[in-house]
Amino acid sequence: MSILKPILEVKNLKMYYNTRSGYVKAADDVSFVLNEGEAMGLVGESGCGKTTTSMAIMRLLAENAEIISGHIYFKGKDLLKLSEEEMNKVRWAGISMIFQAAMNSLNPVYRVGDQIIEAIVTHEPNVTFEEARERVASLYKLVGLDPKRMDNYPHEYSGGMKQRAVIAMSLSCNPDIIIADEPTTALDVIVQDMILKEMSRIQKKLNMSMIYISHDIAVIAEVAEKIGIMYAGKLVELSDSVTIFKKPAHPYTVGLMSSFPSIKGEKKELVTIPGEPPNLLNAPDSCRFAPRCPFATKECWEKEPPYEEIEPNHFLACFHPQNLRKQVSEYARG
Amino acid sequence: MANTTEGMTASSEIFESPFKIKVKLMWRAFKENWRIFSESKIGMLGLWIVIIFAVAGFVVYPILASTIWKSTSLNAMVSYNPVTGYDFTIANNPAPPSLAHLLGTDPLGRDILAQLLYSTPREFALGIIAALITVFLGTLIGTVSAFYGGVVDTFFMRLADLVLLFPFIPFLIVISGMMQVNLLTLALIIGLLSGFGGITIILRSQAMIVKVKPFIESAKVSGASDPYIIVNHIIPNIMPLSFLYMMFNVTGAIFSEAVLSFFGLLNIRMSWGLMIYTADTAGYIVGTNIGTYWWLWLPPGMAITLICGAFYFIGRGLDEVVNPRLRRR
Amino acid sequence: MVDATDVVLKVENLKKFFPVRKGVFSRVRSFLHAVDDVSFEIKRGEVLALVGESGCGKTTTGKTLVRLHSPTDGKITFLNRDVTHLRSAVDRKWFHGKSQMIFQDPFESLNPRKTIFDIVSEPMNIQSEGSLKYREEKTMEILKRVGISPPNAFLWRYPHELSGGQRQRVAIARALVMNPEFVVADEPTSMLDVSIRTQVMKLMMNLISDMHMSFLYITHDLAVARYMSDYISVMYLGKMVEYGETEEVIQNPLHPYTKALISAVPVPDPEFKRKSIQIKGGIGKAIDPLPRCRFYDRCPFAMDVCAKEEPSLVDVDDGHKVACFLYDKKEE
Repeated sequence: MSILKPILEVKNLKMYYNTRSGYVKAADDVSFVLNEGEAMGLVGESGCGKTTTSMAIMRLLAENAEIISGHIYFKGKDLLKLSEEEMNKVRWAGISMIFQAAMNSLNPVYRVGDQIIEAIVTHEPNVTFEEARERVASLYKLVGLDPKRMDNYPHEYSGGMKQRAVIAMSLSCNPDIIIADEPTTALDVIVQDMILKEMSRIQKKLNMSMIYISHDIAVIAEVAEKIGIMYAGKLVELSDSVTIFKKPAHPYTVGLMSSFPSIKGEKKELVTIPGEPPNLLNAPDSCRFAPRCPFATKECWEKEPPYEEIEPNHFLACFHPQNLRKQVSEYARG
Repeated sequence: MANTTEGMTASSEIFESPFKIKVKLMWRAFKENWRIFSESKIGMLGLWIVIIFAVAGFVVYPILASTIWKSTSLNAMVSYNPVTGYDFTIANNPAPPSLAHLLGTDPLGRDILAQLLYSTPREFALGIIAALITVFLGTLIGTVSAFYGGVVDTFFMRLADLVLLFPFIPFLIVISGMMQVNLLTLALIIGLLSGFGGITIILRSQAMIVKVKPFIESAKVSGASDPYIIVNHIIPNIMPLSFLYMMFNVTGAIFSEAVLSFFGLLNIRMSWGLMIYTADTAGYIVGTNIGTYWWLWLPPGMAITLICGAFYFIGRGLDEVVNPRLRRR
Repeated sequence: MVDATDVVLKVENLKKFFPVRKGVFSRVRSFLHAVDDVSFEIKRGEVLALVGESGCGKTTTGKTLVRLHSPTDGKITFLNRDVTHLRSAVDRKWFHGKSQMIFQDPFESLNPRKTIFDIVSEPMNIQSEGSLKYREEKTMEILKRVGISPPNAFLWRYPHELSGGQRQRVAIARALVMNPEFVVADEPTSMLDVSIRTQVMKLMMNLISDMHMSFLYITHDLAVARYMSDYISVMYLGKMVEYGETEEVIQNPLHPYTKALISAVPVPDPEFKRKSIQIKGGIGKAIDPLPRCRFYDRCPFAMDVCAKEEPSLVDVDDGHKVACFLYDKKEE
């Protein structure tokens, strides 16, 4: 590997939702670095803060969302300090996003090609219509769509084609980073497989950085080189994908890995993580996984484990980072 | 629903009677909904107006009628009777507001305030009876046509179209020519007409949404009959909306009554509309007279506007309870 | 007690067609062949997984079996009784008391205006089984069994007060409260989070073996099917293309579609490089299909014969059945 150059740096990001009943700690002290040309995956269950984090990066915040502290450096600039106008320039051209269920967000009354052209023209006002049309045609080729289909309406596209069109749209302003939030969740297995391959190919071809967000650890394993595991608003473990799968250190990661049914290899006993994810409303300052963790000690119930680099490029927030793979069977009983 | 009645007799040590629990649950749901409703300023305004009118009509009037306004041997007359009263101490009628008659008297020498208060409970009764009939019919027909579809649906929906296009006021004019329309008949006619009309279409579309929910299929898998599904699953889910439309229908009914009374088409002894009608037929709502004899039309006019507005406001407040999307987080 | 290898449900040549109108004024009636000539049987205590992509007819099959749709053609035998038409009220009561369904969406399959007690006891209520006290005891017992504890703390709550996992447990409790012989589960875990999903899968596996039920498990996820089922049946556009013991089908898929499907499942192992079989195009709709193999357009191994005839499901290896001319010995 060549020398890694960071492009996006999220530092101690805290974003809470201010509700009637108190603060919902949706993203709490999240830090990670995304390098140029790197594909990173954020994995976690619903409500773990993975979408919140990406929305904070895009600065597309809900009305009651508050960024309490932290920095998001994109090419050295702190996105949280930019004015709305400057941020608008970063969106799409710098960082673009494929939203959850984006394929359903195509406007049914406009031609698909025109919707992409509009996205281009809005962000780059000096591009002419013809240039934009040409660019869309080349984007269509890039994502594996027939440029002739540009003038079709969304309902004439299949689910997979719509997803490809949405990917083309996210690529339309040559972004440095694409954040893909559950890009394949609504798709069938075979189409999902094709889309994932396509995205991975484009990312490598254009040497883009990519953040995949998914609840499906198998999908992330397919495409990401680096994986962050989120639990209850916290980034609990972050490392390259092989380390995460072969030497997971956080009990939640271990649980997640062994509770995932796989089609390959021998049929292993599935391990269940007892209990349910906590309510993030006024979450306590202790390890949030402690109530479900078989290794929890008094310490875990009293204070928050620090998020530290336990070995090069392996970050962890846990007091008991042992070689947990051996203890999986114990986990099953616990 | 069936188990609530049985629950009265069979209860084990572990359980409270399910009936009691259901009452508690309803109370809890009511408190929760009240909390949401009470945050709606417009809804609370409407509620307060309705309460003030209700107190005036149901409490203040009976008290006044049996005390101060009672005919005594002293005045030896029924000067405060809203229908037959006449105050001989006043030379010219209509008389402007005075201490004896706080809102003045009408062209026939009757006390305006007494008329206003006397009519209030009747207006309430009319509005609520009409709205209840409307909602009962609308819910039943809407649910049945949504559930069965086909011919039943087509029949009721075309009927609804017909009713919607129906010239309502001319129809009532004809009816009132044919028969004596009193308050109860009017409530029935309005209730029936609007029950087959617009509300049915709205409740039907709501029932269509509920009809395709998996919990309906789930009941079918257990062998539930169609009436069981309609009564136990579909109706409870459209009830909140029905209740909301009931509030709007109260407004509609009171308003229709005022219009018809104003044209003198109803056979009722006294109502707000009739008060304006009396003033109008005697020629007091013409030209400069409007300003001079304001006490003849302003109080009943205000009362109609306020009560219609109030029920509408309550409906708006309930809208926030029924549609969670309208709530502020 | 009946023999353990007793056949509970036998489906023969089941067909379900839906009429579709081609245009607003079109008089030509077309039919969507949602389920076309499907046959299988499920024995007591056995789980059959029905696998396929969306639109393949797996859900329609499940719903037809519990009579949410009436079959167009074919024969369904349940506990040796013909239940294809269920004409009499007695038959219907008997059948609905013994068959159940678990739905995909735990947020939509429970009536939001009913308490958990109402929801779970409803099947008994509909079937007017037992006294109220009996119903209460049964409800408590089944809630305890599906891991809702303590049951009396949940009895009078509403569905929106429960988490997704708890709701699906309640849905399972409702389905099992009358000890059904046969249960259809339509993607019961696909809406749940990973850690909850495994809990619910394990719960169902335990309940199936404890209660000796026959289970039809509908899923698009082969990895889940692998863990849940004894037999797998793969469906494509209304047709059953492959049937066999779960591990046999997973390890040794025969039909090109099954192979493609299995090769497309992502594997939670970053070092594992899948060899995926590329198939062309996307899944269509079986509206008035031609009498040929429905996978013909997409199949990388398509032959001339595939365009002329429909392959039938034949046993190629000790109960492993496949509908493909590649394995048709007569053609060799």
